[in-house]
Amino acid sequence: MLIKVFDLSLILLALCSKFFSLNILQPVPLHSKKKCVIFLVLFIETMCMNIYQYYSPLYQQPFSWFRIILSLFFLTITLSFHSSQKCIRVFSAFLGYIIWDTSETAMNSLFTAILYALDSQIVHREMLVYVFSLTSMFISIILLFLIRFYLSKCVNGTPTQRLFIVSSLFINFSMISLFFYIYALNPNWYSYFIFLSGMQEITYVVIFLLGCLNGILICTLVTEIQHTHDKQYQLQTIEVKATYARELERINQIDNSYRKDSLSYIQKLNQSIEEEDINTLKELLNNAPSSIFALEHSSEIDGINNININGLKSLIHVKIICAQMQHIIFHLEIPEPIESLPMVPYDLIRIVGIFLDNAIDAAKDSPNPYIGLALYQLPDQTILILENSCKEQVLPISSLKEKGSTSKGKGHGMGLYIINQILENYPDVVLYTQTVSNLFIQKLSFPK
Amino acid sequence: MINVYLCEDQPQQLTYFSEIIKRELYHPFEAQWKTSTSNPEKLLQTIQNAEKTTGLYFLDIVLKNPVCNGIQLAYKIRQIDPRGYIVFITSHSEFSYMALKYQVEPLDFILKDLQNEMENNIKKCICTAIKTEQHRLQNDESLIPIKAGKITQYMASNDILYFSTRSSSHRIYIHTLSGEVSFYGSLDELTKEMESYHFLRCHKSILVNQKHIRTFNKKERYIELSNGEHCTISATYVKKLKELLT
Repeated sequence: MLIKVFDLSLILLALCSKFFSLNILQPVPLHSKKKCVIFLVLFIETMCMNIYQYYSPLYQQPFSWFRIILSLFFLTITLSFHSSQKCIRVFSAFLGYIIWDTSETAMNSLFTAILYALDSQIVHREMLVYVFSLTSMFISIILLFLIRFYLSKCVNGTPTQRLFIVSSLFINFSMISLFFYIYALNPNWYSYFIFLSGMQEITYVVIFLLGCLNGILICTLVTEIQHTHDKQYQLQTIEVKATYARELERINQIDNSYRKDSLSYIQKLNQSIEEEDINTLKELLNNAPSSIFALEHSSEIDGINNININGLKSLIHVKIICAQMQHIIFHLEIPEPIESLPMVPYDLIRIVGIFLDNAIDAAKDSPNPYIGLALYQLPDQTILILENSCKEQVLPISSLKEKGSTSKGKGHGMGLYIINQILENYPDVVLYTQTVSNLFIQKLSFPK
Repeated sequence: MINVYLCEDQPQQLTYFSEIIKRELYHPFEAQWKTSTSNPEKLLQTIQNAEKTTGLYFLDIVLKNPVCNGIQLAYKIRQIDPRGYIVFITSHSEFSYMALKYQVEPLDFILKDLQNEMENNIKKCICTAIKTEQHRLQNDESLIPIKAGKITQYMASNDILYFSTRSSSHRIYIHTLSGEVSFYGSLDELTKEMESYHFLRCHKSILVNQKHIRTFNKKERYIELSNGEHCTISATYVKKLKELLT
């Protein structure tokens, strides 16, 4: 009776850990309905397995193709429910399952091997089986959580980065699993004792070494992930720095030309004053070079000093100058210091950059060019608002977001599509788009 | 019934404004004077304790409270009373705050600089609030709470045309008369939440507002909305829609 209860609880636990293993490595949480379906399929699978194990004439038969095919069949069904669209989801689910399965069986065999190496006269074999499988389940779930923790620590970037790391993990673990399937996992763990007791001492050593290898591989894997991420981060930083340098150069150029213009203008003025040529003086004053007066509004952009996010400040500064060079009135409103936003700086800069570029392009052609940018904090969220004047109302807005949709000709129009792609990774961020009588307004809300 | 509140941190101006407002409140059945205070927190408490009616709030933008300035106060009021009418009393320089314009959506601004017009302006605000409130009551413009991420957003049901999503995406797009809102969620769950607000599912990825359906074309399987947009109807929903719409 007691054994039956143990059996049932073990099946239930196995089911739960299987379910967890499919979900732990997911980059985005699943919807609850799908979760239920997956759970159901897994439940049927586990029940089938156990019934098969108890009633088939092959019971206690070490290795059976039927068992593997059955489990593969159910795994495929589960994965097909998991998500039909995103390969990365199926991939990470599969990976999670493989890692869980491999490490569970590996731990099991390792425990048994060690115990049998210590003492071959063990009395309560049945009980030990439970203890082993419980511990190994526990350890494999912890392992999965560890991997997820590292993934989330290391990879907060683009889907391609994630895919890269997930696949490297996948390759490593499939290698280990191959080893174990060849060497140790031929029998299932009921008949495992018989199998092991007939083994030579060298086999224990091999299994022990494999266990060590497993550990080493995981360690190298983790450092590898860290390393690749560091490298990518460095590359990104270099890229951002390069853009920053380029923009600085441009500001410098603007500055220089401004200085030159005003200098030559003043010289001309001076000359005509000395010559007392009032007509030329009048003409000069009426046709002053535009660059001299383009920057007259810069006192309004004091708020920029309230941004303490690297890159964002310089981006906004550059775009303000860019807008003012094109005679667009720029209104900036940042009343309080902004220390950070819950978004990777790289993504944030891309989004704001696209917003501002679009705004400048649209405002340029409108009768009263104007751009307003506000960034401020509320008790529970931080808000970024960008408004710009535009020539005509664009409705419906949904048409703007298609891939390749543009009003600018070929090669443009990826902007809003890219923004939507980036926002897929930020479940809490809400984007508002609105047009109100020749004003195009975009609002991003970042909850705290 | 509209409750009228005032928050202003300078005592002199507080009495001055409250006198004007009280004088202008001669609509005993539509609006009533509730309270005036210089402390934002006290105001919030009063609102929370008051019975659930819409309020008309006169607020000073620059409050000298370190925790809570006018914008934040207005934002907090919006959370308690999403359809309340907020009027800012301000000096001219603060007039163009974008933060106010889009986050709080105030009814109006009243300029402190224009002393002589102030009385008239306050009167106008009270009248507009009362008129809008009556209009709302007649047209049954219900506000729908929509959980967008961590924040609950209130939207007028008449503004929403339809909700849509894309197959490869977890974001829902609310298409309104004037724009679009995108947030993270599942359309199936949303459909359940929207059951009581006359929304119809016409496609796996579209949830349409019944009030905005202009024509229903069964043959070519699309719905024309009041703004001229077309929504496809999938085979699964045709029968159900036909029953509901004809």
